[in-house]
Amino acid sequence: MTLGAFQILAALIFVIGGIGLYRQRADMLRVGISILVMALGAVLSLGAAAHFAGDGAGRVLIAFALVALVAQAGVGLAIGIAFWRSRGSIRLDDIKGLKG
Amino acid sequence: MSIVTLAFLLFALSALAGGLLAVLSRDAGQALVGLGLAVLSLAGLLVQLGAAGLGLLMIVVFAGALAGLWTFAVKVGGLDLGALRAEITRQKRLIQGVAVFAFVGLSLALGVWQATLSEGEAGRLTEQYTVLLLPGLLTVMAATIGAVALALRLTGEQTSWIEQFWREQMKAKRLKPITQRRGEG
Repeated sequence: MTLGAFQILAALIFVIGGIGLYRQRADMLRVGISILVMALGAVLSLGAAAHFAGDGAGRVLIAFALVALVAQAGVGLAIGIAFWRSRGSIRLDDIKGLKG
Repeated sequence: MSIVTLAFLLFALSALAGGLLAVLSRDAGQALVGLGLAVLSLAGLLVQLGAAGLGLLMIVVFAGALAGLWTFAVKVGGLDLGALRAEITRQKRLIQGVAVFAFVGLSLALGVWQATLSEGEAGRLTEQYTVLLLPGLLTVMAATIGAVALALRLTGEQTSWIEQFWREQMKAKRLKPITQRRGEG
């Protein structure tokens, strides 16, 4: 398979995540899932580029990206749970109340 | 059509289907299943690209993320576990089909990957990834048990020994220390 095929697939996955982000703007859980789908597209793109360039450092970068991605998902979930416990809602419209 | 192209098409289609299910489904449980399918498919694609370690890492770290999201969906998102259980029973055939599909796909990817390696390389990589795999599997197991226990606790069902264990611990902390009386022991 060529690099182009992988990049097109990665772009499609990224666009699907973007569509989800646009459609589900109100719900924190759906927004998180959509961002993860977008990140999967980015990881595939990076992986394909690293493979076809023959660059081993690219794989290390992907490993870092994956771990950082899941860590930020964990932080997002923690914020969501804290917000839900204080306000009883996970709708992003309600988070305007967090402004200092 | 070569086996490599077939594997690519299989993973590409399931990744797109999983992504669409994840973002378009109204049910949080289905969305998480879609995300899991997309993650598995992308892991297969990474294996096909010769990065089996990254595919493994992706499965391990996303298993933790999915466990967290699952707990979040049950606790906060209002995911009804009873309805989900009924849905799983109803869609048993479909789920079995997806499981067989995923197994065949991953086997195909591993076969393609192994076919591209020499014998020495394969042995060396297996040794390296076994070291990665063991702590990863332990982490996944801990995250899964934690997510299931939390989910059951939040839905008011008994959490078997885990909840019992913590109750006993708290009870023991509340008890007064026993002082030994003179002449005993």
